[in-house]
Amino acid sequence: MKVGGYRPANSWLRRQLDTRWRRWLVVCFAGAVVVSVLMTAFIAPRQATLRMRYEIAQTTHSVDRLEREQRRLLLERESLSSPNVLTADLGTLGLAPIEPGSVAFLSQSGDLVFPAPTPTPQPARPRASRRGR
Amino acid sequence: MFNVSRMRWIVLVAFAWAAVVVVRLVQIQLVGHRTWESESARQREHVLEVEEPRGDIVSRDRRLLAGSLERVTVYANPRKIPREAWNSVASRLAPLVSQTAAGVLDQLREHDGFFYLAKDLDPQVSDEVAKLRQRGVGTLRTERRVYPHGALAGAVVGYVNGDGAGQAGLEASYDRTLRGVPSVYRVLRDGKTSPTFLDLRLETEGRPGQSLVLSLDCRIQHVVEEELARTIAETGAKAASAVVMDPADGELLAVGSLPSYDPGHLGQSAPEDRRNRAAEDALEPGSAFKPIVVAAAMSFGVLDASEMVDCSGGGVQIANAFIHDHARYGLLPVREVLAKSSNVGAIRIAYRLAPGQLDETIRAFGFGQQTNVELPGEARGIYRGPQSWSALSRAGLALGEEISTTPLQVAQAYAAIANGGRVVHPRLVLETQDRSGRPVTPYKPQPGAHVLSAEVAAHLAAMLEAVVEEGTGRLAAVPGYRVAGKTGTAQRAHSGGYTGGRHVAWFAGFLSMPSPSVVIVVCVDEPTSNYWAADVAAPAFGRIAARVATLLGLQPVAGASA
Repeated sequence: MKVGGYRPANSWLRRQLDTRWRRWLVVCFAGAVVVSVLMTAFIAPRQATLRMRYEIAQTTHSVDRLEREQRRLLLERESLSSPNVLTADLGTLGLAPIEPGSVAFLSQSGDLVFPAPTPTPQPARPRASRRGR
Repeated sequence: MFNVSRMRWIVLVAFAWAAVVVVRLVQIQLVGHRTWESESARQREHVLEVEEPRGDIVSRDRRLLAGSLERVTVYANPRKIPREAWNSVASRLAPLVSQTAAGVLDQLREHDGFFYLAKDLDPQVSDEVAKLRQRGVGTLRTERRVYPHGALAGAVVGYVNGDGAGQAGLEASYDRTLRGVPSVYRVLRDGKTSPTFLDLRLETEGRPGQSLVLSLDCRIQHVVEEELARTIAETGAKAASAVVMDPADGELLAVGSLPSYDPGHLGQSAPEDRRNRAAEDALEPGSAFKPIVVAAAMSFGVLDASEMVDCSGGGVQIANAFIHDHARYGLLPVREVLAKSSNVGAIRIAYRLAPGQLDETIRAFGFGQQTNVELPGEARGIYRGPQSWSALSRAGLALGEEISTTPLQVAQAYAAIANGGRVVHPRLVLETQDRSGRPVTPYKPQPGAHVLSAEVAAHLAAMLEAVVEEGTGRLAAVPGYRVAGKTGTAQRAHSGGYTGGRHVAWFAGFLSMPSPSVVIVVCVDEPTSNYWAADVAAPAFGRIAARVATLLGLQPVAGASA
């Protein structure tokens, strides 16, 4: 319905501004900062722990692998340096077995002592007997 | 119409039923709580035992005689692999298990369920198989026992079976120590009762096996085995064994037994070659036993070291037997009775002793008993007490008959003569160590019991030195060292009698006088070219002694000659 001479207007209305919005904004921002700091403080060490665990797991794996390899090499070295193997390879290595007579000793007075190279005598051969000797 | 009586009955029955339920609840929840809980755990949990690494066996010069290598076994279960995926699984698995794709596919077709696809693989394969993320294919951690020195000390070290359990030698006698304690885990089962590994809980922490540190010296062991092999080759003997021992504390520096075997290649050896003859073969010692009889006579004061013994007649009549000597000797000093190995002299000395006196000395030296060396299956030897002796027994014992001894027992007896009269038991294991090398059970030398006075032991050692200087043991001499010892040739006893042509040659002795630091016993079984100990065992002793003296750095003795 139109009423003549009357024009609706709201100019008499004045918008009531909320002057507290800035404070709310500051509170929200501060809250976000606090939450972020708390979360960072909470998560960061856990993340570091997680990273360290991962690195430890990786390092442990590497240590295990290297220990296995070291073990394998140790056994191989033992095998290659076994007296039986070395004896068989003496010629190849340019070495010769040591005869007891070729070994000299330092006496307590500092003199070099060679064992007397006396030829070993033959034993007397007994007659055969049922009883042992 | 309300019937009070019927109502009472209903209430009574309800109460009775409730009482039964309550009783049953109490029975289940309180009384049988543990039983039902363990039953429930048994159904939903799977107990997993994980073996810890087996310990090493190390010689005194820190050479690794036995060790374990971690290996991997790849398994497959065709039932859990979709049939359409078999081809791709086979092609992806083949390079990891060093087989052809067709070969893997054939195995998948052949097997109806779980089977081992490949064993003894590098542990790296485990990671590669895990990356396949294929259900029905997996790996198991295993161990392979490795013997880097092959047959060296094989009979001492022993071997393990396919499950890693010791079967012979120190591997068997120290199996529990070497194995350690397995870790026990509990994991949840899935609906098909397979372990899920979702909730892996360690129930009992395991302990890795301890390592054994032996008294054996690898270099001396090698020398002994090399010289025994040479002796067998030169004499055509069936077998030979030798013991090298420290008379001060009984530590065994070498225990040789040939023919031997490589524990890592068992299939290449005959079963009869897998025994340690030094500990398991009891043989008559022959004249190597004469010093024990002389020791008994001197200990009981019925014989003086400077005395002359009547060895005339070329033989002696005992009961209905006439026992010959090697020559007609006449009167001989005691040292020459041993040097010439006079049967008559030894018998006359034995008959000065009462049976109980001879028996007491023989037992005190440890004959007829195990030496308690740490080897399985050690023979006690055969020695019957005086209650079973005949009129001839003392004569037999004087000649090293009617008694069987192992080379270890002979070494133990000669060590007592060498160290001033104390019986020290031979031992192989110095200590056990944990994985980091810390001693767990350290070595505690046991003081031996005195069987001879120091004076008697010194007289006896001097007599045995004469055996090497001027008697039957001259081939055992080592230039530069004063060696003492005794030969022994015995006929091989078999089925209650003696078999002609089969002999055992012994030489037992020590060096270097006057303070011997090593006892060596050589036993050559059934030499064919020549059976006399003087020609067979004494030279082997001499060669071993010369090389051992060099290895141990024994100072030559001034004035000593061969």
